[in-house]
Amino acid sequence: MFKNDINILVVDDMLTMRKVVSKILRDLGYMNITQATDGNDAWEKAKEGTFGLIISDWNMPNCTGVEFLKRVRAEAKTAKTPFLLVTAEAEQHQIVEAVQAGVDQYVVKPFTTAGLQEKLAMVYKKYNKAV
Amino acid sequence: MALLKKNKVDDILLFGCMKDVDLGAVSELASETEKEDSFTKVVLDMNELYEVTPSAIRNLSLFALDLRKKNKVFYLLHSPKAFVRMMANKGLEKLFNAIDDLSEIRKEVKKRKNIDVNFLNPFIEATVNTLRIQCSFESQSGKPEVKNESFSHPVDIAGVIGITSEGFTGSISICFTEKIFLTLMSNMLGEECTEINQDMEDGAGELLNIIFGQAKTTLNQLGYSLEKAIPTIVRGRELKVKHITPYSTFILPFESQLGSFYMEIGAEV
Repeated sequence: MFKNDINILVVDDMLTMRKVVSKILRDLGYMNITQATDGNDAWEKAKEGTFGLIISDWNMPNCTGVEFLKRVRAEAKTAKTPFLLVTAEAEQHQIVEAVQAGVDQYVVKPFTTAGLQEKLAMVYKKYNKAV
Repeated sequence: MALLKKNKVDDILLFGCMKDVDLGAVSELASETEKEDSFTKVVLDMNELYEVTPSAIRNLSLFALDLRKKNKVFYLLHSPKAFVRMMANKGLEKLFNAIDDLSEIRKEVKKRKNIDVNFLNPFIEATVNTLRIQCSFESQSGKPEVKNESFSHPVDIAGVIGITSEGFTGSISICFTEKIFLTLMSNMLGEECTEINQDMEDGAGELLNIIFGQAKTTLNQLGYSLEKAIPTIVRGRELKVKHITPYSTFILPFESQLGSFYMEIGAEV
C-alpha cells in the first residue's frame, strides 16, 4: 500500500466532496493532503510532479477531471503519477474515455472508506508491479 | 338540466356538448370540474356540431386560465375550425388546445404511465443507497404519489436539477428539513454541523448529483438518454417547491428515524 507520508492531491469543485475524500484519506492514515478546486487549479499545483497520488473528480467546471488527467499524462514530470478518478456516473463510454486518457482506477460515488481503500490498493499494486 | 355529458377516462375529464356552449354550459363545466380530483386534463367535445356563443367566450377563457393555474390543461375536441382560428387570432390558442382525436392525448397518458415505474424506481433506489453509503443514514421509500394542491411538507433546503433530453424533460428536486440535512452532513463529513451555512449548501447539490448520476446510469441503459445536469440549491424557511409543468408532479416520500423527506419529479414526457 502507499506509504502514509505520500503527498496526495484531492481535486473536486465541491467543498463537501473534498472534505469527504480528505477525511477518508486521513482515516486511512494519509496526512499530507492538498486540495484543488478544478482541473486548472489542480494542474498549477501538480505540474512540478510533487504528488505521489492524485484523486480527482470527473465533472468540474473550467477543466474536467479527464482534461486534467490528459495534461498530467502529457507532461514528463507528472506522466507517471498514479491517478484515480471519482465519478457519480459509470457509463460504459465514460469508462472507455477515462481508460484511453490513462486513468489507473475510478471510484463511483457513493463510496465507503473500504471502497476507496480497495481502489488505492489496486492502483498501488499496478505501479508496484510496473517497478 | 344537464347541458353537458361528463365522463372520466384515465386522468382526462371529458365533457360532451349537447347544445351550443353558452354561459350556462360554461358554468356547468366549471362546477362539474370542481367536484372532481385526480385529473390533469379537461376536454370539451364539441362534436363538430356546436359553437361557443360570443357571450360565453370570456368565461370559457377564464375557466381555461384557472385550469392552467392549477397545472391542468384544457382541450377542445372536434371544435369548429372557424372557432379555432378566431381563438388563434386573439392569441388564445394555448388556452384552447384544439385536438381532432382523443387518442392524441390518451397516447400521452399511456406513454407517461409506462414511463413512471421505470423512471421513478432508479431515483428511489439511488436515494436510499446514496444516503446509506455516503451519509450512514437509513431511510425507507414510501409509495410514490401525484402531487396535489394540498401537499404540504416543511422544507428548509432543496437541491434542484433541470433536465432536457430525448427521453425526459423536467426537473427533479430533493427536499430536506434542516434537522435531517444537518444529520446527513454531519455523518457525511464526520464533523458536527449545527447550522446550514453557505459552505455546506453544496452538500445538498452533491447529494443530488450522486443520486442523479446513479439513476442516470440505470435510466440510460433503459434508453432515456439523460444528459449531464447541474444542480441549483434553494435554501430558506418553509420553502415551497413548484415544478412548472402542465403534467403531474410526482412525490417520492422517504421515511427515516428523524422524520420524512421527499423527492419531487416534475416530468414532461
